[in-house]
Amino acid sequence: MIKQSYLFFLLLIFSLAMLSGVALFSGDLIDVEHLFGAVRPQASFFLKEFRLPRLITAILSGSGLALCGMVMQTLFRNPLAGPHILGISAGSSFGVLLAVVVGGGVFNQFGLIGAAVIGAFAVALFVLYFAARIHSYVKVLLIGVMLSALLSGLVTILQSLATAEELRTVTFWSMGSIQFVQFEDLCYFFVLYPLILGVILSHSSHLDVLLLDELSAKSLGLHVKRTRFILIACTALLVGLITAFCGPIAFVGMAVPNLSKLLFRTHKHNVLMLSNVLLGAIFMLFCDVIILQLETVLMIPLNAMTALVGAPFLIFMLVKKMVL
Amino acid sequence: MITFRNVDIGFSSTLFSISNLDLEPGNLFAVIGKNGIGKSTLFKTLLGEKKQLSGEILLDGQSIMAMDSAKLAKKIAYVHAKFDGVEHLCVYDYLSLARFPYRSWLRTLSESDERVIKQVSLALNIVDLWKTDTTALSDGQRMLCVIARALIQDTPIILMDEPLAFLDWGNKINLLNTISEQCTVHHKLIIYSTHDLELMKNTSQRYLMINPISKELVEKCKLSTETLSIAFPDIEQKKGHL
Repeated sequence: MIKQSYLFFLLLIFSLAMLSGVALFSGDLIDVEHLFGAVRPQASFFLKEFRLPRLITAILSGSGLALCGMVMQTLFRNPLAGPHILGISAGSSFGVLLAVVVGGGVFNQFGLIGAAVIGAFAVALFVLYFAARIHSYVKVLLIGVMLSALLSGLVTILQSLATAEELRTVTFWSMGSIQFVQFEDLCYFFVLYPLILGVILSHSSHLDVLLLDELSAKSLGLHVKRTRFILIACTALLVGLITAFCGPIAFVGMAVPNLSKLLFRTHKHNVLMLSNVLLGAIFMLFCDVIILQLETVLMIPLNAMTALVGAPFLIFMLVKKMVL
Repeated sequence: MITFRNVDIGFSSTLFSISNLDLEPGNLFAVIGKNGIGKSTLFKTLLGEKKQLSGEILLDGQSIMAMDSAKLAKKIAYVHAKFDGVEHLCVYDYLSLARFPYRSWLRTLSESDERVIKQVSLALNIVDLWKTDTTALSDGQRMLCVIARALIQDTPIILMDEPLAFLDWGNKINLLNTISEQCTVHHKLIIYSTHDLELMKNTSQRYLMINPISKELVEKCKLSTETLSIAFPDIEQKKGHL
């Protein structure tokens, strides 16, 4: 089992590398002969300014969302939980829209990220507040779904108030897009991502203990409330950050953690974290590569793609209960 | 050793009180009382999760409320019967959770952790289940694993909330034998709540009976029909059946 897992991880890393290669060099960017010879200057510019940021964004957002989904599924004891379903993505959308429509052009990039993070954080805290008081996790999940619906309603109203110009950017953003992120934007990721990743990684055994009922977890010496708060804060921060740049990306956060559990057949969070990071990145990159290939024919929004690729696969896995 | 001195236990109002009681290691105590009388609340209080309304509860001379939860986790283990298993969590990983209080920075399991897990698994005969998914176990097997987890936590005191609840008759007896052996051989103090009174007659254990009328917890060495009719006043007319 352990050896199989290692092999599987190697396979995942390999496929991630392959996909990265395809994402960077595919399409009409470079001819193969140029790859080994002198690269044309405009191609190298294109590579650096468009493909590379896009690749990094895909990897970071995919792995980040998958990781957040895993944390939430454990915290809420429900395989349906995820940043999208619990309304955290909606909170961050609402924050961004409010900043764009009400704030007009006052907010710069940093302000928009702030709005997204605050929105995500507010919803996360709200859901957590109920989670601490209501002992039925199904009810908490339902509250999350309701919040999500409520905020989506508000987002629609805000959209109707937006000017045509604002609406166009916002609509495109809300369908999920990773192609417009630039290197300057990525520096926020580079600072925050390792930090959040580090905190979540160091809590892997805490997450394991959270699989037990609350009193049992406490009897093992875990500070349940404090741990929950730290983890929720991390996920809200990460989801807010990702949503600010890429829009509310659905599905990844819920599907990939379930996929990891099915593939690795374990609930040890140190294994799951690694597999979620890898699988999340692969999943997002795979979707993006398909979008990239079809770009000349048809522009497919990212949110449509993640669902189109992920849903059939997950259903297949659930029905077949594939053995590793 | 757990010492109670004029303790009132409850939430906003007192559920029951314990005037003077010493629970010493090497003993198996069964907590007996009506549904809703506060057996689980007693456990919560002992775990420092719920403060007693008045009085003092001392663990080896130290107040439980003042103890850090990480330190308490090395003294008192707690299990309850309602563990349904977690999908994709195998028995070994479940058992290894019990070593959480002894973890070191970023390190999952040390050699001594693995040794303890193996020892207890061998004693309870569950090594074969190590790779089984915790949701795929039968109720009897699952309860054995739950008990094993408490033993692996390696604490002098174990609290069990209705460990016999979902077991068949044979498993109930086996489980009782296992835990009473742990008490005598390993000199542990085990306190568990139960409603399976007909099983108690032959085991060498003591009883903590909660009297619903005087609202007091008292220690009994024997379970007689009289004591039972005090603990469960509703069954007065059916006394002959016991």
